[in-house]
Amino acid sequence: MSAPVVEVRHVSKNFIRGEEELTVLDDISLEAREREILCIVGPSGCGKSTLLRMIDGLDHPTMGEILFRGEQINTPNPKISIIFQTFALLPWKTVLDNVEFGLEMHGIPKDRRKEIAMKFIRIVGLEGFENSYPKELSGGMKQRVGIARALATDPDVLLMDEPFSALDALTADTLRREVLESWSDPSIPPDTIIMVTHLVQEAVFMADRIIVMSPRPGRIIGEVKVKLERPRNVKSEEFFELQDEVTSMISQSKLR
Amino acid sequence: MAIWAKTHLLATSAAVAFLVSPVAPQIQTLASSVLSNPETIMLPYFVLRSLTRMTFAYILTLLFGIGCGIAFGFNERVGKLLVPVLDILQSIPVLGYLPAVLFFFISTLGEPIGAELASILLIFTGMAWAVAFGAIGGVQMIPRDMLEVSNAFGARGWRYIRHILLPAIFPEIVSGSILAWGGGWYFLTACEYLTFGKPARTLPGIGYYLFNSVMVGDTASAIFGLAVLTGLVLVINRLVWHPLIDYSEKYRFETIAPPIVTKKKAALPAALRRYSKGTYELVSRAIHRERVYLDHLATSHHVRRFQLSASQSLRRLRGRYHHLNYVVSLVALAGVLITLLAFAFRTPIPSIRDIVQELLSHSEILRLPVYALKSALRLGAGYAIALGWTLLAGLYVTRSKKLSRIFIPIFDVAQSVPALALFPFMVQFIIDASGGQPWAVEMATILLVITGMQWYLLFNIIGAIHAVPTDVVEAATAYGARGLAYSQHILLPAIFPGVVIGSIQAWGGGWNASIASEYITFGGRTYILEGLGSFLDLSSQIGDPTLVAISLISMTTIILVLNRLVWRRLLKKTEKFRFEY
Repeated sequence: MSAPVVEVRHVSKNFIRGEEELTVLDDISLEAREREILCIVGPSGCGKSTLLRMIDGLDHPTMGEILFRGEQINTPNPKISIIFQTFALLPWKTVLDNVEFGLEMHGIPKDRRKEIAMKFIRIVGLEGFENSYPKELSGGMKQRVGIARALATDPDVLLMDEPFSALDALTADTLRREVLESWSDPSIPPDTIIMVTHLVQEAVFMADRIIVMSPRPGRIIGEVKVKLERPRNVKSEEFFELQDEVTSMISQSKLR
Repeated sequence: MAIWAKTHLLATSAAVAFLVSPVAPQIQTLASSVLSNPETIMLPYFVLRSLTRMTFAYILTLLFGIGCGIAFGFNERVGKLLVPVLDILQSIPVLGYLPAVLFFFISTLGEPIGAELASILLIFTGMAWAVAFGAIGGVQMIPRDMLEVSNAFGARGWRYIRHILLPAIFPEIVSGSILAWGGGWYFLTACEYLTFGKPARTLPGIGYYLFNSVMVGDTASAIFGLAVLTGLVLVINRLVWHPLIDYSEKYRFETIAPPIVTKKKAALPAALRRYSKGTYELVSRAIHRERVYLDHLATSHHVRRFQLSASQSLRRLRGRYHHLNYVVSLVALAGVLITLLAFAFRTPIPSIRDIVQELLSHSEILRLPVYALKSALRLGAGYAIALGWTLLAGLYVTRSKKLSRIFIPIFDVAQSVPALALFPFMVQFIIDASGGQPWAVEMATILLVITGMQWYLLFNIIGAIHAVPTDVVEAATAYGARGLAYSQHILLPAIFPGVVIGSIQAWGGGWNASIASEYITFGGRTYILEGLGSFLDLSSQIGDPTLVAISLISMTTIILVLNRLVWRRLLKKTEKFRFEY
């Protein structure tokens, strides 16, 4: 087993809301390794999005620490990219400019930027739309822009926050397959994907490992390894069994 | 607890007394001068009269606004007519019509009732548009499935109005009303002390008290009047509008993402905090409420104007309203105006030949374009300065929660001071400071224009920054946008629509201010700056209906042309810059 890329060590997170202090995450420890897709599954309110934002340096743990290749994460790291559920594209920039955004912020010269951006626009299948504005695109196409923007900075780690939840089921399915396909090509970044979702089926379909969380406060209640061959058959018996295993973990935690 | 509170009160008042003691003698002279003013004792009565005026105007505004909303909700054809008409009406500089309306009412109804009605009508024209556009916007925002559901349950006609339409426009009417009252206070000061015509006409009210104190050179009373007026504005905001805002919140369809929860931080060292906990809590809670209210106001106003101006159907409607129609309505407006004015000035209604002859006999009409240009340049200068400082302030203040917590309440108080009332102070100050240089009046005028423009810009800018979705902020941070790059790539483009909308409102306010500021009688002297505003004032002094109508029409035309050529186009451009809520 390879060395961990991202390490979360005993992380807790409290929010102060009004007079009371709310524990959102309670003593979370996990790690993500090279060439691994890690899914964090849990019902809403388990703090999984907060955890993801902390891994990106957008938020900070109250206790504990988060390491990227052995160094503590305090601010957003160029080697970590993130994809949002709501796409979070800039409406005043074209597809090309949106994909170039991260590269521009990192000071890459114009010609090189365009070359890289075009490569990833091609990879996500948006060739011909590079001069369109986000408003002119469908939801699925918008998320493709989000993915291209994330990959263009050549990240080691890709964070995905419910990336397919705002899309219709068919589009979501297509995008899932495409993300897995490009991930299986070692020439395309990233090496490691950490994805947050509330859909058990999505997690079993994508992940090498599933971390299951319970809400209020967010705690890890189990880990499930998925060793099925990709592309996975969602109708196979093994798939159903894994899905059941994760689902029963979540429902048991609710009963307690 | 009680003892603790008493000690606390004692300590606080001792501290205040200590701080005040060095300036106590000055305060005493000021106070005695305020007390010796025979009109000070009348102040409660004045406040009552002003409030009555405002209330009547507001009732008219409410009826008008709700009427517009209902008409728009029920009949598409009415809606198609309504919006362009409202658009023209709100572009008209209200202050310019003041003399005409006043003369008309006084000559038909006699002095006191006529003047009172005229002032109420004018305050109404200053209030009406925000509420009417709010109501229409509210009707437009009723989701389609809501309409279908209510239809399926048989809520039609009156029942539809009561159960769906009125609750839906309620929050919009509340935020519109706050803006309307702001506009109302602005005009109130102008309506109660009219320098048009001789002698000056006055109506008893707080605005009159304030203006009169300035005119007779009683600075102490003027300051006192200003304080009373500002206090009144703030008290009404606190007692009426803040609770209504809170209450109306639950009526809102969810279109805007909930605001980010602010983290409460210890702002004072623990020892100090324990001592001053009572006051601190009170103050911080008050400030917090103020901020929530303002954020809400700025954001909702920004979003509402936007949804309205950019909505597909409205754009289609406006597209159909051709230039020709504008010309026809302007000519019709001219006809109506001349007739009304002739009636008002008790002169015979001029025939077309008379009008042409008169136009030819007044050579100064040829100078109208020059006047217009001069006024426009003044506005341009004021606009540039206002935009500059509000942009910097907006970007700076929204940088941190702490800064907005400090500055936004300050802006709120500052913008509730009616700028017109301040004008004489500014003139005096600048003329004194410059030693009576000719450019001093020019500068004072530009300053007044700025005060008429700046708040529209500032609150639209702050609203736009607050309306940037959290995800976009996070994405920008995640991809390394910081400092200048963040302003350049995220904030400035995000502000752009707010700036355009704020600018449209600001120029409207600016034209109004120019009418009040190009012709000033103050301290026994009259200062006249060449411009459209002073031309209008002079024509109404002569009592010439044609000249008054011509100057009003040219001012309205310029505003409409500017709207068409500049702002409408920019507004179209802003569509690309909008976030999808």
